[in-house]
Parts: sequence; C-alpha cells; structure tokens
Amino acid sequence: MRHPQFPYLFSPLRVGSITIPNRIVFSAHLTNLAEHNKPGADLTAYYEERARGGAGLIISEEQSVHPTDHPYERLIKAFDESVIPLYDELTRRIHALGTPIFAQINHNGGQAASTYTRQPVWAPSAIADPLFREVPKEMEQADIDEVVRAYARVARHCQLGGFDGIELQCSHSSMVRQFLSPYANRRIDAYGGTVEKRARLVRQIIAAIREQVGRDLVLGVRLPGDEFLEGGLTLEHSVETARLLDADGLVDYFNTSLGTATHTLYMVEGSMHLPPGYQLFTAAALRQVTELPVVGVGRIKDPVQAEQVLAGGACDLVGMVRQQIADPHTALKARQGRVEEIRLCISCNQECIGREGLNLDLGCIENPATGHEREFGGSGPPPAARRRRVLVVGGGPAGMQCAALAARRGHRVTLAEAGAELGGQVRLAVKVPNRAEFGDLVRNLAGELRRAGVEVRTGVRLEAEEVLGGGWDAVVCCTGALPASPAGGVLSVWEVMRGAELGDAVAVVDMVGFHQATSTAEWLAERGHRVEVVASSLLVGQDLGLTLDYENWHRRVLAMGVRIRPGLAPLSYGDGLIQAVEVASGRQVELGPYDSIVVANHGRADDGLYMSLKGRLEVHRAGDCVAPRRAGNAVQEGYEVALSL
Amino acid sequence: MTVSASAALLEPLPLAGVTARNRLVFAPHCTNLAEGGLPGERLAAYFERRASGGVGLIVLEEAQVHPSSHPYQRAIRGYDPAIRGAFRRLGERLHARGAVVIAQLSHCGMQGTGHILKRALWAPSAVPNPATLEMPKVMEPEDIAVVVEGFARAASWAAQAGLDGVEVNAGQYSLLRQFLSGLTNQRTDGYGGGQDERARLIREVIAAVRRELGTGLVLGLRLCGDELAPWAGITPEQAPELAVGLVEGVDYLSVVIGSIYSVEATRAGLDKPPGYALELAAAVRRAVDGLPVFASGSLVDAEQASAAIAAGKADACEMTRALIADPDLPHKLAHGARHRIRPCIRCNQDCMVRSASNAAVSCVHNPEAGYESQWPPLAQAPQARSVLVVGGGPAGMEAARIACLRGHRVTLVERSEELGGMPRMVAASGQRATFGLVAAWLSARLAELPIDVRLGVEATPSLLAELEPETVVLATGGRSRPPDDLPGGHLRRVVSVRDVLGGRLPGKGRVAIIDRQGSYPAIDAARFTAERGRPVTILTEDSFVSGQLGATGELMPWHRAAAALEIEFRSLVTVLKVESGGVRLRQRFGAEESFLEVDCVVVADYELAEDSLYQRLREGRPELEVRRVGDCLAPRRALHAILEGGRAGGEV
Repeated sequence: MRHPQFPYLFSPLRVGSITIPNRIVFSAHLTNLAEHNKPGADLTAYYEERARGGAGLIISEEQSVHPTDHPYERLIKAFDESVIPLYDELTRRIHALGTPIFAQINHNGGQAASTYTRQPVWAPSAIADPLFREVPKEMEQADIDEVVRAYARVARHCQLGGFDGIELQCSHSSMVRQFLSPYANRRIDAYGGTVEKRARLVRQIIAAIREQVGRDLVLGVRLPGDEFLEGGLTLEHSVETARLLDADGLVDYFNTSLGTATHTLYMVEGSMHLPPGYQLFTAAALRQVTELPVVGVGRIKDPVQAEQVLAGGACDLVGMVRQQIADPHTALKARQGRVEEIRLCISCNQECIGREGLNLDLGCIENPATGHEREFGGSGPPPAARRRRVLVVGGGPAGMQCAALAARRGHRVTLAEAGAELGGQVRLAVKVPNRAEFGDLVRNLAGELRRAGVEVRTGVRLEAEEVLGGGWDAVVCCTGALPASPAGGVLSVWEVMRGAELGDAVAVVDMVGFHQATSTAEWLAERGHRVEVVASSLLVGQDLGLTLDYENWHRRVLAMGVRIRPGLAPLSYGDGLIQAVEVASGRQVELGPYDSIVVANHGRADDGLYMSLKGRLEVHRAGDCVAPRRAGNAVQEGYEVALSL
Repeated sequence: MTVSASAALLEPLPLAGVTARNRLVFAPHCTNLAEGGLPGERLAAYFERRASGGVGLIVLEEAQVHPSSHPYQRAIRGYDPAIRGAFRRLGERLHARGAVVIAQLSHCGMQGTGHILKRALWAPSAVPNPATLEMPKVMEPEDIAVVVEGFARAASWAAQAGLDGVEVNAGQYSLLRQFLSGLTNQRTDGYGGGQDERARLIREVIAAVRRELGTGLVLGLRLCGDELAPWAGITPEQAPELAVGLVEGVDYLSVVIGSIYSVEATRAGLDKPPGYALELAAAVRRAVDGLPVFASGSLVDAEQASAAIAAGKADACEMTRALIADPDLPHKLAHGARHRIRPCIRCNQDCMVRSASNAAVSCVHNPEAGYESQWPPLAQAPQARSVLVVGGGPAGMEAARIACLRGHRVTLVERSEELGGMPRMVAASGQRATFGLVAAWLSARLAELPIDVRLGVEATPSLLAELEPETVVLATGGRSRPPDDLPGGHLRRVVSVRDVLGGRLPGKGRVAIIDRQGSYPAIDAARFTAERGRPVTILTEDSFVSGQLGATGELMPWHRAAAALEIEFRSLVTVLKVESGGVRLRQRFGAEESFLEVDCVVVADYELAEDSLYQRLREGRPELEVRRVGDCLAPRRALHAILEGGRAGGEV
C-alpha cells in the first residue's frame, strides 16, 4: 500500500534475490561494540534496536577477512570460523523482526599499522598511510591470491551465519580501494595502470565469492566518489569501475562513500558544517551507468529529506547511520506519521565518531542509550518503583534530559528555568556560523518534555528556601556554569555572543580547545573583523579533530584571512596587548595591538543552590554545575540521575 | 665492571618484615596487559619473567582504588573484590621466583579522561587539565572519604592475598600529588591552604593503609619531589621537608620527578641524562634519616645505579626499562656477565603505552617483552641447515643469532665494512647515540657464536654458488625514496636524510627539511645540520612538527631543544616545488603562497625496501628458499627488524 506521506521511502525494493521492505538502510559503521573481536550480545542488541525501529536493511560493520588486517583494537575477525554461531544468533534476531541484514566484509590494507598483529601491513604499493604512518609491504602475487581466497572464505562464513547478503567495502578504508586508486596503487603488473587493471582485484574477489556462495546471496559493492587526493581516485574512476562490475553481472547493488578514512575522514562522515546530502552526487553518478539499485549516503537525517532525495532520483536507497544512532526508531516514527517525534541527529560527531577515534565504544550526544541497548532498548528504561515529586532546576541539556526521562519513568516532574527560554548554553552555541543544527538538541528535548508531561516553568529563579518549602521528594540541580572572567578589560565568548561591542582587530584566546574559540573567531571574521586566534596548545581548537571539524575550520577561516597562532601561552592582558610566552622557546613575546581581546575559557560551576540544599533533602546534580564540560556530559549525567530517581 | 663493582646493587634490602634479595626494583608502569581490568595470565608471565631474572622487588602496575579513577582503558580495578584472587595468584608465582611483591594503589584524580569515565573527573580544585583542557569536579568531603576508604580496602585485600605490602601513589599521575601541589590544590577547607593542609590527604591515606597492613607488611610512598613547574608546584627545594612530613608509618619512599605539567619527565627520553632524579633522591634521603629511599629517572645502567647506592644517594634503584629490555639483568650482574646485558636505550618507542590504542608494552630490541605468555621457546632445529643471511643490520643479525643458537650453520654477509645497519649509521652521525647500542649488543652476541661473518662482501651469484645455502634470509634494509613526486626534486641540492647523515650537505646557507613522516629522520637531519652551524627550517603538512614523538614523550623536549638550536618550524605547509634558490610553499588549508630561500633541501620521506636482490633471486633462483625480514620487506622501525629477524631465525 502506498504510504500517504512518504511513498518512495516506504515502498519495498527488490535487491538481488531479496526484497527490502523500505528504503532506509542502517549502513555499515564502526561501533567498537565487538567483544574479543567477535560480534557479541551488545552489537546484536544494537542492530536489533534499529530493526525494531523499522530500518529496511541493516549492513553490519566490517568483518575482516584476513589476519594481516587489524587497524583498530575491536575489529571483528571474521576469518576465524568461530564467528559463524554468533552470526547465527545475530541474524536470527534481526530476521525475527522482519529485517534483512547484510555483512560488510573488508581488508583495510595499508590503512593500518602492525600494532596489534606484529606483522607487516599489506597494500598494493609501499605508500605509508598518513594516519598510521607505517610503510606497508607491497603485495606479491601470492599475497593477492591469499586475500582473494580469504574474501571468498569469509563470504561463506557470512552465508553460513544466515546473512542475506554481503557488501564489499571498496571505499574509504579498504585494500580494494587502494588497488582502485591511482594514488595508492603504483603497480606496474596486471593489477596497476588503467582503471581496468586496478579493478582486477575486486573483480577477482567478486568472482571468487560467487563461486563460493552461489548466485542467491545478495552481493553489493561500496565505491568511493573521490579520494580528494592529488593524483587520487575520482568519481570518473568509480563510474568506470561500476560500469565494469555491472557488465560482469555478478553484483546486485552499489553503495557509495566519499573520501578516505585516513586522509579525509571529515568528508566520509561530515559534520554539521557540510550540507545535508553532500555525498549524493556519487550515487547519482553511478545511477547513470547501472540499472542496479544504488545507496546514497551523507547527512541524510530526516524522512522528508530522504523522500525528496529518492523522488529526485539521486539513489534508490538512503543510508541513515548517525540519524538512526540518535533515534533508532526513526523509520517507525516516519511510517506512523509521528515525524515530529523523531530525535534528529545534529551531526556533531562528538560521541559517535569522536569516541571511535578514541578507541572507545560509540555513543550519541543525544541518546545515552546508544551502545547500551541490552539495558535500555525497546521501550526504554524501566518505570520507577514509585511515583515521586521531582524538581529539576535548570533548563539546559542536563536538566531537560533529566526531567524528560524522570517523567517518562513515571515521576511527577517540574522543570524550573531561570531564563525566559530553555536550552542553556546551546542557545549561544547555535549563533555561530554553521552550528545552528546544534539547536535541534534543544528542540528534541523540548518535545520529549512535552510528551512526557513535564511541567515547565521558565523565568523562575529558585532560592534554596523556596525549594525546601516545595514538598519535593527529590531535587536535581542542573544550574550550569557561570562565565569566569579571565582578566580585566578582556571579554568572554559569552559576552561576545550576547552582543558585546568589538573593535576591528580582535584576538581570540583558546583555552578550551573546542568550538568556543574557533567558532567565535569565525563569527567575528564573517563580520569583517581582523582576527587572530591564539592558543598555548600545539593546536588551535585541539579537539576539533575529534569531531572532524579541524581541517574545514582551517579552510574557512584562512580564506577570511584569520591568523592562527598556536604555541603561545598568554600571561597577561592590557592596553590591547597580550604578553605571552612562546611555549617551545620560553621567550616572552608581546602580541598585538588589538582593539579587543576575547578569551574562550572554562566557566565556573554554578553550584550554589546544590551546596545550600545538600544534606537538607534528597538532592542530585548533573552537567556543568558539577564541572563545566560539554553538552554530551550534561545529557549523560541528566540521564543517569533520572535513572537513579 | 666486575661483580664487586655492582655489589651495592646486589646487596639485600630489608624492608619492614621482608628482605628483598637485591636493590633492583621493577617499578609500577602501564603495561596494558591486564585482562578485563584484572591481572591475568599475560601480566603474570610478564612479571614472572622479571622475577626469574632475579629482580629483588616488584611493585605491580597501579591498581585503582575507586571507580572514579580509570586513567587508561586497561587500568586495573583495585576496588573490585576479584582483585584479591588476582593478587593471590600473582603473588604466589612471583614469590616462587624469589621476588618481593608489592601492590601499587592509586587514584588518578584529574589525570584521566571523562571519555573513559563518562562522568566528571575528581580533583582538589577547579583547574583544567593542562593537556586535555578538561575541567574536573571539585571533590566534596564525602568524595575524599571514599577515596581514603578505597585505599584502605585495597590495601587490606593486598594483605589478605599474601602480598608483601603496598605502595601509595603520590607520583606523576596521582590525585594525592594533585592535593599536595599548590598548582592543582586551591582549596580553603582542611585539605588546602597551607602545605600542611595540602599534605593532609596523603597522611590520612597512609594512616588508613597502615591500619589495614599492621606492622609486618611494607608500606611505600611514591612521592613527587619536583613537578618541574616551579611557579607554584612542588619544587626540589621543598621536597626534603615535604618528605619528612609524610613518612610517619612509611617503610620506604620512592622519589620521582614529573607531574601533570611535565608527565614526559615520568620516563624521560634521550633529552634527560640517565639518573636525572638521583640528586633529588639523595637530598630527600639525607632528610628522612634512615628511611630507605628508592631512586628513579632513566637509571638504565647498573654501574650508575650501584654507584648511587654505594655513595648513599639511594637505598634501591628503580630500573624498570632496563628490566623490560633485559629481564636477566640481575642474574647477569651477579654472574659476571654485565657485558651481556641487553641495554635499554631510553627510546620509549615500545614501552610507553599509556595511550588510547592500548598497545601492549614491549621493547624495541626485546620484542619478547609483553609477549612472554605466547613467545615460542628457543628450540633446537630438527636438522642443522646451512643458512645465508644477507645484511648485517638488526634484522640480519637477529636472524643469524637465533638461527645459530638453534644449531644451524650460519653465514652472514654484509656489504659495508661494519655490522649495525641503520641504528649504527644514525649513531655514527652523532644522532641518537644510544641506538648504536642495539647494533653493538647484537654484533657482540654474533662474535660469541660460531657464525661466519663476512664484511665488505656482496651477495653475488658467485657467492651463492660457493656457499650453496639451503635457505637464505634477506635483510638488505632500505634505501632513500627518490623525490619523484616533488617538482624540482631532481635538482642537485635536493638530498636525502641518508645523504645528510653521511655528510653530504650541499650549499652554505639555510637548509629546508621536508618532513613527510613527522618522526626521527627529519630530527636527525635537522640537528646534524644545525650542529654544523647551518640555519634550518623544518617544513611539514602536519599540524605540528614531529607529531609522532608524542607517543614517546619526546615531543615537547624536542620542540624546546629545537628552539634552543634556532631550528625554525613551519607546520601546515605544502611544498609546491623546489626552485633554484628556494622552495615555494602554500598553506595546506589556505591559498597563501610564500617562498623560502634555501640552498639545500632535505627530503625526509619514508624509505623504500632495498629488495633488488630478492627480486633477482625470485626470478633467477625460484627454487631457493628465501625470506625477507625488516626494512627490505617494508621499511619500518628497529622493533620490526628485530622481531622479523628473530622470527626467521626461529623458523628456518
């Protein structure tokens, strides 16, 4: 039956031998949820939650085909046949929910180091990866033959384990892409040179897999749109490769990607600074040369956008990864016409990609249940044993999350916010260039408050005595942080964002290492100020790399003439000058003159109310009033306190 | 040095109710060998190997006393009741090998990360961590109380498990030091204010631990005596008095250097001289009146350590890295085989593993370290074969050594006049001198064995015909990568790092070093050049110069050294081309171009495998059994060369 609102999104699609119930794909991505390098209960529950939430197709994270491949600690080693019974359990559970599931299989080739294997890394040519920085062994024919056999063997493991299909990762982190790439493949044998020769490996792998698993198992190939490397692979190369593979007639669909995970990860998993759907040109180009279904990806977040993308013909299926991390039930809500209830991903990259980069299990700034579906999946945390009267003080992310979950668990909750509006510091953070999407964090939480029946009172600043007299069973202080003035004559970023007057030449001092200084500098440069950013660290915005914002921030601000000056530790400010120490040399230097100096520093925990209530009734605290940190910490702590009530 | 020269180090050390058989200490360090947050088989095998080698005292890897401390992913949970069983099993095995075993108890305070902890870090005051910039939570009185309880509980478990005692950590990575220091403690309650108040938490912890241990067991205190942050931190001048105020109930003091502002001083690289913390230990020892004091700080040489003890500077020496490199160091000392000790070269390349990747501890020239539980025993070959090893660098020497020990007839040919390969070449150029010790140790071992070493000999077809080896191990190393992709790279004044270290440095003016690795070769070339009076600029596309040194703790010391040598750094720049008279540059992320006047360009790129002999043999002698090891397979570090050389020697 045709869906009234999303006719394309909710129409089934034949892919190879199977029918996918709708067009929403939970595409392959790293989770670090594997246990002992095998898929275990955590990973199974994680996928199960997205299947329960209505995803049309799940593609597992990469399953590694060979022991020479071990780029990160929790890689799934699918070459070990002990994975088969675990696959069995995984696929049985996903199939029980009516959802097909494919396994992505891969060898990361030279995008790895020998840290865990103590074996040489294998790659088409001896070119060190810029992240791992280890020269690989140039593969010999025997190595290539072994890898081809390994792919086929692992495809068979997946088939025996009940997967409906296989996807070959030939994109952002893979040996196959390295062979396809004129940058990474400098071979002069039958595997290097022309597009056709560079595609020889993937065609051999496909043929070997087909020989091993037969024609029924779905087989897809994920191709890259561009490596963004001088002399690297471009869209034309991938189009040509797709044409070859299509003509061979052995694959059933194409998936797409962009960039490489170790040169240009910021293009693989673009943050909110890149436009929604920014990778779709790749899918659209492949679709020109093949009749096979093509998956489009890249910041596709809401069903309306997805429907438009499908209607526009850019692709046949949409990959929605981060969106379904943030809200596993996105598809279900869209199908049931509850679009308003969807918790939109903000592409902040803080807890999903950021944690992966730190070798930790993935999370989500908006969804603390991520990765903990065994405990919090399905209908969410359990209801409270008894209904209590709860007061949450402070309507920033911590307070909103705490109030919403406490109410959902059955408590009678009042949220009191001193300001006129909810949102806390997020309300300032959204003012800077390209970061308005952060505001969806507040919009989403406001919706949850409404649906959970929280009584929200804004413009109410509560003193301890009023709270004590309120008859509350429990009070949660989420009172946030206060700006800490760094020095006289210097402005804080809070003051700048609230509209303080600034002169022409501005220095922005970064003492926090995240978006505060860098975004303020960008905001000022856009308004025509001459801006310098100073930091004592080796990097300005040292944590922007975690969220994949480092490179593109540099591009944007350098284009506006912003001067970036790391390695300078400010000692004092005065007369428009900064007295600083060059960290490496120890030399004192004078920076400036500036018309204005702005300092992005840590705030001060506003813990006055908590301290005056402590010991006098049941009181908890969460977020910046514990210690000023990031929004993810606030949401996490709000959630945990709500669970404990 | 004879046995008597190391006599002081080999004398027994009485501590409370136990006596260590000598004065060598294997001190607590991050290994990443724990499993599921507890010491398991792998960590036990690692420690057991050191106990078997004769070390007197082992202080185990830090055990966290409370869930609010989780400094690195594989940290040990000392607050988990299961630690009792783990301690017991570990203690029994190490006692059986004659070592005294002490558990270290720790809380990292603000020197952790909220990414792992998923909650606020605990600290005395609201001071952000200077490296991560993370803001901790100011500890409330009840937080302090549970930390004290945590120390006491873990101590009681260590005692119940039969260990010989505990060490309380107030060293480089510790909450207790954060309380002791005015840098991080700005409290105004009873735990801050004056020095006495800042020391209160340590005293409470010591008293609580002492109550649990009773009098028979050892209580040690690891104490930072210099935070290297004199503007407000603990200074060496204060250290003796500070120590005197803390030793009540303590059986030994371990005096260390470094803090949150200088963690790289915990285990210094080559920038600090061996024994850099000895005088501090000596000063403290003079003040604490008979209390045993352990010294640390790059004590890798037994003679230096022994002399320090003999001179009364310390009662015992922490020789952790030396014992990672050679677990048999104590036995070798005791049996007149000091010359056979595999020396620690203080490179920190494989033993510094306190990072997100959770790599296992190991050693650049003892790759068995950390892998003891899975290391194949050295077994005699079933049949002696003739083995030809081509190449006398670390890979070839290790292959020859192991093959010969297994009973094979080994010939090693090296085309230059000396053994040693890359490490020897670097050391001979005057850079990273300790790397020469890797080459020297291996070549000395070869000299003890019946290996036919032929120097100045090429592995030609006629040599192969003459020797008729049954198997060949190729360890022919690497070669400079020609700068084919660099426009202007063919110009006469464009050279490689090998050229520079060999003395080829064209021109007279400024030298540009294009660093494509962010690692040692560019540094070697830069120092070599600057030491010869030439101005130097290092160019990198990376965000900062020599980024790979972050892992070894050498980054900031190198940046400071470079500043002192007036070596100029330019990061985030792309070299567009080399022209006569200079290099044309562009911002990596911007469009601004510039021209740097230089009259010599050094390209510090990854090397290529020198595999021409391998290719010739594959084609010309396909029947011959040939293996490649080390850089001629893929140019990497000495660890890989030695690992693969040993593997080949063990398998032929």
